[in-house]
Amino acid sequence: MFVRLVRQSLACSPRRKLMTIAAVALASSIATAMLAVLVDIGDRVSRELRSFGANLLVIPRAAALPVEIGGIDYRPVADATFIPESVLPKLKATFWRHNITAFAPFLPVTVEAGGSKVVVQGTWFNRQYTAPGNERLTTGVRDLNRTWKVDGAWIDDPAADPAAREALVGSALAGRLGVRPGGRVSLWGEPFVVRGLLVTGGQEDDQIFTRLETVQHFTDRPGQVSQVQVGALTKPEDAFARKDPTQMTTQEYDRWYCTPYISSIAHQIHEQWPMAVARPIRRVADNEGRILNQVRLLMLLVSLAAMVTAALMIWSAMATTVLERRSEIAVMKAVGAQNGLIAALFAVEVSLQGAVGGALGVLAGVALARQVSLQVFHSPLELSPLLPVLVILAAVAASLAGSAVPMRSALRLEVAPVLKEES
Amino acid sequence: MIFPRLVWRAMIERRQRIALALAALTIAATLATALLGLYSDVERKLRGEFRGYGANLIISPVGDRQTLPLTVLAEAEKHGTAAPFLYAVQAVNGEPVVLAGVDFVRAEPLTSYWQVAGSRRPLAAECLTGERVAERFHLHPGSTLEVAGQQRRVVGIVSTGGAEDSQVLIPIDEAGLGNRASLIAVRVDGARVEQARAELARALPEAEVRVLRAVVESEAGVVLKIRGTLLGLTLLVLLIVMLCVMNNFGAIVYQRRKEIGILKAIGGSDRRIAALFAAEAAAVALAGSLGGFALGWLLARWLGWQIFHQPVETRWEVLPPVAGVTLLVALAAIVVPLRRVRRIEPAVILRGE
Repeated sequence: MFVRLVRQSLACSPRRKLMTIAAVALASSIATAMLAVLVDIGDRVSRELRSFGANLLVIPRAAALPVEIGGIDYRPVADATFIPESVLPKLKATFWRHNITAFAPFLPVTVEAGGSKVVVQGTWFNRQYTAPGNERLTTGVRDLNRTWKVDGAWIDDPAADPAAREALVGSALAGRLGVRPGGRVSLWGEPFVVRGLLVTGGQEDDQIFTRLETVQHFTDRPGQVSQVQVGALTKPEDAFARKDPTQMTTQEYDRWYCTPYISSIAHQIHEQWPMAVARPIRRVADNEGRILNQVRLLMLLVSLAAMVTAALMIWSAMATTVLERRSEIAVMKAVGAQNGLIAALFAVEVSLQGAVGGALGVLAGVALARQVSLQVFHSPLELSPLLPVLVILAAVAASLAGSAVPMRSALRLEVAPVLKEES
Repeated sequence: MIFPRLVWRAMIERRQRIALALAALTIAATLATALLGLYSDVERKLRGEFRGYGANLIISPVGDRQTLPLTVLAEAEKHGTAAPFLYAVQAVNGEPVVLAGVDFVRAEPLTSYWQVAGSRRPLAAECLTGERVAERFHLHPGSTLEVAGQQRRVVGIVSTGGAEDSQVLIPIDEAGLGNRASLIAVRVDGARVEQARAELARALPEAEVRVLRAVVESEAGVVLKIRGTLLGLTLLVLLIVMLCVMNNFGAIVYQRRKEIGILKAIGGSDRRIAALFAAEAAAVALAGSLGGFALGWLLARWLGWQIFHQPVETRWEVLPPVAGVTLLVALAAIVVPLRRVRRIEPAVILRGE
């Protein structure tokens, strides 16, 4: 009997019902789009900020104090402590290996070129290596410093090639030496092909970059690097992260260790490489955290405002519907229906409309959010399967809440005047 | 003067429904004001956040010269915050260490990311030391250090993860080279870096002006993307809210067929009935947009406080578009249902079919 009542009530005046469902669908699509964008905005911004470069610098533990101005070493004897190149893949064996997005080893040496002292950096550009677990991965300065610009071509070094003689020359230095992409520059008495000119605005503009193995060969330091720069996705530091790990209780230590704070990632790198220490590069790490927090809060509050609006929209649409159907309620009461039955009938109907509207809204909202994501970030959206369920439940709840007040007042009304007014 | 009274009566008689329509419009206008207010301010606010990254332009000597005259500083300060730095290798406790002369007052806004244990501003015969220098010589705030044959008191230990960690930092006027600097770091507004670079390069032919691409590009990337996302979402929300209000409003007109039937039966022309509804809708829209503007402004202020710890400015220029759009939405909402007014046959409607 009840089911038939609901079915008939839904079947009559379909136009009005469609309008209500449309209102719910529109409002739910706002909520869906907002939530979908909100969920991974933090990740996206954080990846965007990672283009700044490394936020961790790993150096040998016993390294002597560098005496460098603008990258040029003024020490009488060169540093004698190194990190073995062979341990580099172990970075991907740390607890937070997936947060380490890129790294690059460096072996700098000061040489004579064009009559003055020049720093030559040996590094990986886009080197393939085998991570623990036999995974083939690629990383290097191209991944780490995505804002570096090259006039000409990058050096392509998927595998070590000791015979290669190629270089990227900093743009300021190139101006002084008068070299162009495709030209030659003489280092260690041998001609190097200049693949491109590097523009960064930093001290790299006065340096020369070449393959790591080339510098190792000419300086007779096979398999050694003097520093590794690491880019890691981190959680912004809070008061807890600034505590001294040696003073923590076991639970606190576990929590610290299992959170991707810059300090705990630095600690885990040291665990893998006992001969080295990792130091956070504050300029990058601190600002990244602050900006990330700000952006998250911005999007969260904007989404909250939009979602409250969406709820109010549904609420007002449902209230309008119930208001319009007072005479129907009066008729039901006149033929002897209990208040509880009428309320139940309307509740089911309203929930159904809310659910259908919510489902349609999810579909539309996902499509819209995907558009925003593609337009702004040029990458598709990742969706949590929980999101549709959440939005539909919220739509039903808002619908019920919206219909409750006018419903109560409608049930309290005298039957006769309502029927007279409407006929 | 029967027309205004008609409108007024119609609204009073159906105050519950009118209140709902008003609520919907107010919500829409609130959201429009708040989002537009936030959007117009977000770029400036976010760029402000990027100040923490420090300098985005570096001025350095060109050619064989090692230093710049401090007159360059005055030129740089026309474009933003600037600070001179002077570097030299000196004997510290008998070992060669890089000595940095810093104008600590000017450098403070550019170096907010330095973590300093102790004081940030050494005075005469005092110094800051980098973390690695402090480790090497077992220094802590309060200990003394021999720098270039002169005793200096360490007042703070600097930790940055960068070059400063292995330097000793002293006031630039004590660094012994008079009014010279090795480089001048400048922070200009992120939106006009290129322009500032070009102007500085023209004004200072004896110097080289470089843009720190990493700072400028990651700032531009984040700011433009967040602004884009906010714009996309704002437009989306406004569009949907508009559709929602139209839907709501349309339902109200649709429900009043009977009234329209009566008006027609007693001789109301289509045009006059439409005018009646339009006037009603306009009155509600006006009230809604004013109320919404006030609420939206409060909301934007609150959001600004929560996120950036400073208020979003009141933008009166947002009011006319918000009011205009609200009015348009309300009028557009009744157009479709009103078109049916013409087709309404009073006899049929009044009989209850």
